[in-house]
Amino acid sequence: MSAARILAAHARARGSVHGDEAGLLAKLEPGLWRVVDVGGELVLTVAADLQLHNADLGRLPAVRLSATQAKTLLAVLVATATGAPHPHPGSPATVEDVLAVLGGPRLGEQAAAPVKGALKKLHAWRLATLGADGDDEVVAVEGATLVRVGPAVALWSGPWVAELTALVAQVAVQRRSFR
Amino acid sequence: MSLVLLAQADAAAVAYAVAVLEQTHGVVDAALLPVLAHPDLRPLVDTELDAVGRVVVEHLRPDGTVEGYSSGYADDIAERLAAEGLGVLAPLDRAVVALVLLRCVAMPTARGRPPRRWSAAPPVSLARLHDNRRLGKAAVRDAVNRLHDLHVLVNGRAAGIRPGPAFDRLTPAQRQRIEEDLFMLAAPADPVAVALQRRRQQQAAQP
Repeated sequence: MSAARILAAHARARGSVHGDEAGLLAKLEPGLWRVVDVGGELVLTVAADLQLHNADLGRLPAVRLSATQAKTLLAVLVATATGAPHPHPGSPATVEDVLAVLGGPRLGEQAAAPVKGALKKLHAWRLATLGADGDDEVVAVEGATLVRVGPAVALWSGPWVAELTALVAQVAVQRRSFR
Repeated sequence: MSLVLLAQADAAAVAYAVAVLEQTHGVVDAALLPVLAHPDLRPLVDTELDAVGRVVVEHLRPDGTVEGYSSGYADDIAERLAAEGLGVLAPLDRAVVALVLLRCVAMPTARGRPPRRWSAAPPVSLARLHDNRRLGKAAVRDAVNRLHDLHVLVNGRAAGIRPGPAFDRLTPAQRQRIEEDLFMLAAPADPVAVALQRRRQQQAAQP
């Protein structure tokens, strides 16, 4: 059993790479694997140009977000957008900001509940981060709870990211015009 | 062999197969990955996956032809990760998974109707899982939701609960071990179960 093989398997199972493992993992086939710094945490993932996008995913079995989860993620991207070409790291926002994107004060408690539930799911899947740094478990999602894009977003790459950023910018412009 | 030494089209096909197997959830139709049936390129896919402790898992039709593919941890790596507690479910979640597998896989199999794949097994209702009085209803419901998020189970709500795409990543040896576990759980006094337990104890005692 080679050391790199075991390290790579551990890194994939843990979802993170220890600092002292990065050197050995960098020797993996560079056309297939890369070690990425995600806000101070190293992650072993497929090479940037191998990320599957819509054209592939339409015919492959994939985990898909529900409509509410997708809408909430888009709202997180809008609320944290900085105008940069990549949504990560984005600017910090609050749950209130995300709810504002989805309907603002018109959104009642009942309509806000599934959005808060979706935020918890996105946090679990590392697509969004709730709370301050170091909060692994977020028990309550309140209006003032901090929201940022999650580390999984930092791994996004490819032309589709630019398309998504353009969509987010478009939504932001539309929101301003409605105010 | 490094991918840079291959013709560009071959390298791209090998890389695409690895990327698809590692990023999808569930079984990929064999027709979408012809490189895995290619006598020269398939070993390269196997080598690239082996470099990170993974293997191609083939899903066969009843006639023995390949229906589709997924990838999972190699048997030796899976054993090592489990021994170190990586990816191991909490006892309550394991109990709920066992209940679902008993209802969706073991019982239909015992009646002569084994599911084509565990992830394609007929679902069980949440109410049936509540038949197990030792586990509280709220605990079972919460565990099902957690396991759904981990892709271990699929919670189809009204449609019921069934094993999830995570089971498609098990190798035949890993699936067999679970089948043996289910058998020992369902009929611990059966001579076959006793023999299985004895064999496990002997294997564990070996250095």
